[in-house]
Amino acid sequence: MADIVLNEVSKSFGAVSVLDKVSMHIKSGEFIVFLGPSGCGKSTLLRMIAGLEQVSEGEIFIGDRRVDQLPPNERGVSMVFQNYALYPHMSVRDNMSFGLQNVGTPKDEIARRVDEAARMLEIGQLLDRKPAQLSGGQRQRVAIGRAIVREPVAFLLDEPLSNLDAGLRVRTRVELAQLHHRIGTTMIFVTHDQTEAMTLASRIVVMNNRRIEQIGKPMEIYSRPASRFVAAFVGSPAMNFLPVTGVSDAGGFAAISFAGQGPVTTTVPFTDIPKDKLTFGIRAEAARISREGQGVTGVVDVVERLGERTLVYVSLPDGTPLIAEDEGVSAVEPGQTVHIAIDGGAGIIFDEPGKAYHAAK
Amino acid sequence: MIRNHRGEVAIAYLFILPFVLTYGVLFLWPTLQMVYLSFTDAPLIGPGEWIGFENYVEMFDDRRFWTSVKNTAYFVALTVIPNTLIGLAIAMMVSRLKGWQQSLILAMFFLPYILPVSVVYRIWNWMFNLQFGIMQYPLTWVFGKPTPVFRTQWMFMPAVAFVTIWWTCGFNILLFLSGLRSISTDIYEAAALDNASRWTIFRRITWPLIWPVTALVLTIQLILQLKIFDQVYLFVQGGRPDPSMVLVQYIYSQAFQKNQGGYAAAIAVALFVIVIVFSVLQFQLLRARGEK
Amino acid sequence: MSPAKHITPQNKRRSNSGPSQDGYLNIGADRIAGEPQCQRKWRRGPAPREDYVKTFLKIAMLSTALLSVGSVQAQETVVWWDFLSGGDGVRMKALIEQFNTEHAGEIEIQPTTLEWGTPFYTKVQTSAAIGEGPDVMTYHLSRVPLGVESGALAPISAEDLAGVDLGPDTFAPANWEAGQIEGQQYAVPFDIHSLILYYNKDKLAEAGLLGEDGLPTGLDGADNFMAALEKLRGGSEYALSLQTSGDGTPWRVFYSLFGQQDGVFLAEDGTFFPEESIPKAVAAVETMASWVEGGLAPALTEYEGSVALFTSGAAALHLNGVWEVPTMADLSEKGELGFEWGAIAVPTFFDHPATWADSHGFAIPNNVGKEVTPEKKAAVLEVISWMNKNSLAWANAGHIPAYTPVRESEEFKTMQPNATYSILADTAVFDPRSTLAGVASPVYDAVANYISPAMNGELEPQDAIEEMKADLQDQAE
Repeated sequence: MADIVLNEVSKSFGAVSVLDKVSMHIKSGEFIVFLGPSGCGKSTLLRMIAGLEQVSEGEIFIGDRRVDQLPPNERGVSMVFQNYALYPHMSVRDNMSFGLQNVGTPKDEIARRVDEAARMLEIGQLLDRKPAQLSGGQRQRVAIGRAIVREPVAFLLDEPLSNLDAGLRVRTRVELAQLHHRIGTTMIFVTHDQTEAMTLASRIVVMNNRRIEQIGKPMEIYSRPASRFVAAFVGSPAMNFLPVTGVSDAGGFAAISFAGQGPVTTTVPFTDIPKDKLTFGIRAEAARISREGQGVTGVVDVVERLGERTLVYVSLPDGTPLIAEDEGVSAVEPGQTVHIAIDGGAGIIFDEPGKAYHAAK
Repeated sequence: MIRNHRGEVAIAYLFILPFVLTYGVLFLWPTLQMVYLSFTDAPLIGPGEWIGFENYVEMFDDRRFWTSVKNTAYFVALTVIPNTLIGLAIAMMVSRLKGWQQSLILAMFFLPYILPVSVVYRIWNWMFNLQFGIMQYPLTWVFGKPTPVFRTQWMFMPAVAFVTIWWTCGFNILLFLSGLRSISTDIYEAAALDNASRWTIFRRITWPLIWPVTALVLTIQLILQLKIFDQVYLFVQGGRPDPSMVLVQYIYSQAFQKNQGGYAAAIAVALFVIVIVFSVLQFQLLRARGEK
Repeated sequence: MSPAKHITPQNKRRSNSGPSQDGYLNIGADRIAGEPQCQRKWRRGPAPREDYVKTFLKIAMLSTALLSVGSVQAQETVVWWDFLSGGDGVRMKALIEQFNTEHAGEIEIQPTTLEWGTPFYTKVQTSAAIGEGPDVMTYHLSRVPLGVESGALAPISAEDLAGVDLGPDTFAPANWEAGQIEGQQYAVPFDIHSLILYYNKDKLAEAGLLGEDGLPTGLDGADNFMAALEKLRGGSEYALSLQTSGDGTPWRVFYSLFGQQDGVFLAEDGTFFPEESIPKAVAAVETMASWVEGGLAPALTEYEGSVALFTSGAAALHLNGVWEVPTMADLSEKGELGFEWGAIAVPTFFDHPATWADSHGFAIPNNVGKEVTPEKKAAVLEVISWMNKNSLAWANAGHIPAYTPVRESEEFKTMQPNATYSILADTAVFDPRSTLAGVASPVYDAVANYISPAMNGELEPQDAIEEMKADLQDQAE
C-alpha cells in the first residue's frame, strides 16, 4: 500500500493549459473523489495519474517511486473507464485475465483471482459471456472485476456510474462503498455529481477552472466551503446567496443586513472580513419558516414538498430569491407572506472574489 | 396506423424497377448468354452450333488453359495476402499520425489508386527500364548487372504483383484505417494498463477487432486478383505471353485473336465458377474464424 | 505494316488535324468554333461599329455554311481506317489530302488511324459484325485467311475491279493471289514491304566493309556475316541492332533465314514444320541466337529500342522493315542523324536469297446489315484504284509499289534506297497462308513465346522449334 503524491502538476495541450500546479497527498486506503464541473480538468488529472496523459510539469509519486515518466503498466494502478472499455471480442473471464496473462501470472493463480473477484461482484455466472451479452450494470461489474484481479495499489475510476440508470446508480454506489470498505485499497473516483462525492468520499477534491478549490472531508466541504464556488457546487438545493447591504460589529461578530432586512448576527469575526461588496451565504436548512413571525419576510413563489421536508421558494421584498425550508407537513401556499428565521451562526460571508469567511473554529 | 399495404408494395417495386431492369439487361442476360455460348462453337461475333460439353472437354485437355489457371493462382498468392498485410501495416502507421500529416501521408499512399492502369504501366515500365530505370540501381546491386525484370521469366509475376500492390494498396489502407478508427481508444488504454506489450496489443486486441475488415479486404482482393488481366497484358507486351498467361488474358486471346467465342465463353464460365466458389468459400471460412 | 509505336512529333501534330484542315468546310466545326467567340464579344459590350462588323461576319459565315451544305450532300464520303502512323502515316495522310483535293466535291475520304496489330483487327471484326465498320480500310494480305474465316471481309467482284482498271495483269501474280481465298478477291494489294538491312556508312567504312561501289560487301553467308559483325564490334556498342523481344522483327528475320533454306513452315497437309524442315528452322534460330550470345546484338530489346540504338549511332547495322526508311530519311534531312546511312537487301545467310515479305492492301469490311449504295461502291473503288495509281508517293515510305505500272516506272527504278533493295521483290517469301498466321496472329505469338526466348538463350533452339511446332499444331486442331 502506498500514498499518492502530486507535486505542482500542470498540464497543457499546446498553448491551452488544462491544469495549473495541482498538488495533493492521497493517503493509502483513502477514497478520494475528484469533484467538479465538466472541463475543470478532473479527468485529465486522473489520466495523468494513470499514465495515459503526459505530465507537462510537476511530479507524481506512488509510494516512494516517482512515476510521472513511467508507462501506465509500471505504475501499479487499475482503471475503470466511463465506457468500461471491455475487450468486446473476449469473454468476461478473458477480459479479467488479460492483464495477469501479460505479466506471466500462473494459470491457476489467474483462475483463482478471477473466481474470487467474480464471487465478490456476483458475476460468476457471466464468466463465459461476451460483453455484448451483458447489461450495463453487469459490464460495470466486469470492469471493476478486471481492475480488482490485478490487485493494484490504487483504483482509478473515471465517472464509472454515469452510464447507469438512476436506480442502478444508487445501488452500485453503495456496493462500491462496501467494496472499498472490504478491500481497503486506495480509490480515486472522478465525478461531477456532488451526491456521489458526498456519499462515497473519505475526502473530496473540489476542482474548478484548472485548479483545486478545496480538499476536505465531505462535511467539511459542505459546512465550511473554502469559496463561493465550492459552496454553490456542493449541496442540494444550492446555497442561497444574498447581497449584503450593511455590515456592523455585534460584539466582535459581523451583523449583516440584506434586502432591506436584518440585521442578522453571524459568528464570523467582524475583524476578519472586508467591509465592502459582501455576499451572505445561507443554506436552506438554516433559513426556516417561522410560525412565530420572526426573521425576515417574503412572498412564497413555489412550494416543493419532498416528504421529510418542504422547500419554499421565496422572494424577499426587493426581489432577491431565497430558498427556505419547512417541515415535511407544511401549510405554506404560494402567494402567502411568510417569516423566515435565519440561523446566523450557520451563515458564511463571501467577499467579492468569492473567498469564504467562517466562524472561528 | 392503417396503411394501404398493396400500394406501398407497388411503389417499392416501382423504385427498384430501374435497377432490376438495368441489372437484368446489363448483367443477368449477358451472363446467361455467355453460359449458352459456352455450349456452342460460335465465333467471336454471331451464333454457333450447339455442341454440348465439347468445349469443356477440350478445356480439360488444354495445356494452355491449365497454365493460365496455374498462373492466375500464383498471382493471387503473390498479391492477396501480401497486399492485405501491407495495407494493414501502413494503415496502422498512418493511424498514429494526426491531423494534416495523416491526411498528407494518406493522400500519398492513396494517389496511385486513382491512376488508370495504363499510367501505372507506363510509370513502372519506365522505373524498371533496362537503360535508365531508377530501379536498376538496386537491381544491379543485387544481381550484379542491370536486369530486364519484365523479360526475366521468374521475375515477371512477382514484379507485376509488386506493381499491383503499389497500385491498389491505398484502397485497402483506407478500409483498414476506418476499421482502426472504429476501435475505441479506451480499449488501447485499458490494454496499456493491462501490461500488454505492443505485439500483444496487436495480436490480441487490434488483429481480432480488425478481423471483419481483414476478411472483407481479403475477399475483395481475391475476387479482384482472380480477374487479373490489364497489368499482365500490358507488361508482357513485347515479351513472351504464354508462360505468364492468366485466365482472363487467355479468354481474350481465344475470343479476339483466335475468333473462338464459344470456347472463350467456356473458359469464362470456368473462371466465373472459380471466383464464386473461392470467394464464397473464403468469406465463410473467414467469418467462421472471426466468430470463434 | 509500320508498327504504330514509333510516333514522330510531326506525326502527332498531323493526327490532330480534323477534316476542316483538309480544305473542306465542315459546317459543324465552323459553327462551334465561331459562335461562342462572337457571343463572348457581344456580351462584353464592344463599340457599336465593331458590332456591325461582327454581325456581318456572322451572316457571311452562316451563308457560307449553308452553301456548303449543298456541296457536301452531293459528294460521297468514304470512311477510311488505317493503322499507319510514324513515317508511313505522314505519307499516307499526304496522299489522302491529295486525293481529297483532286476529288473536291465528288469524294471525300474521312480517315481515322487506329493502333496497329491486334487492336486494329479486333475493332475491324467487331465493328463489321454490327455494320459499323468503315467503307474501306488497309489490311495485311497475310491476315486475309483469318479475316475471311472470321467473316470480317466483303468479297470484291472481278468486274468491279476491272471497271477501275485493276486486275491480275496490273499486279505481280503471287501478290494478287494473296488477296484471294478460293479464287475470290477479298483484298487489293497496295505495296510489298519487307525486311532490309540498314547500315551506318561511317562505321562500315572504318571496319573496311564498304566495297568499291560504296555499298557494303562481305556480308553474305552466316559465317561471313559473323566475321563482319566481329569487325564492327569495337566501333560501337553493338555491331547489329534488332528487336530481340516479342514478335515482329524476330519473326521476319527467322522467316527470311528459314526461306533461304527453302524451309516449309506449313505443309499442304496442315503440318507445321514438317520433319525435314526442322533442322532448317533450328539453323535459322541458332544463327539469330549467335548474334545475341556473342554480345554483337542487344538482348531482350524491344522494337523502339532497336531503332533508337541505330539512329543514335550505338549500332552499325540494323535489321528492320522498309517502313523505317522515312524515319532515317527524315532524321538525315534534318541533320539529326549524325552519320550517313544506307539500306540493302537482307544478306544471303544460307543457300539463296530470300526475304520475308508482306503486303498492305485495301479491303472492304463485311458490314452486316448495311447496304452499300452504287455511288458509295464506286467511290470506294475509285479510292483503291487512285491510291494504287499514285503509289509512287507511297514508295517514298520505303515500300515497293504493288501496282506493276508504277513499280516498273522509271521514277521508281531510280528511287533510293528502294532501288538498292528492290531485288527483294523477286526473292520475297510471303507469310504462310493460314488462319493462324498473319499480323497479330497465333504464329506471331508463338514467335514471342519460343523464337525470341531462344534468341536470348532462354531456350535451346531445338526445343524452341519443337515446342512451337507442338503449340501451333495444337491450336490448329
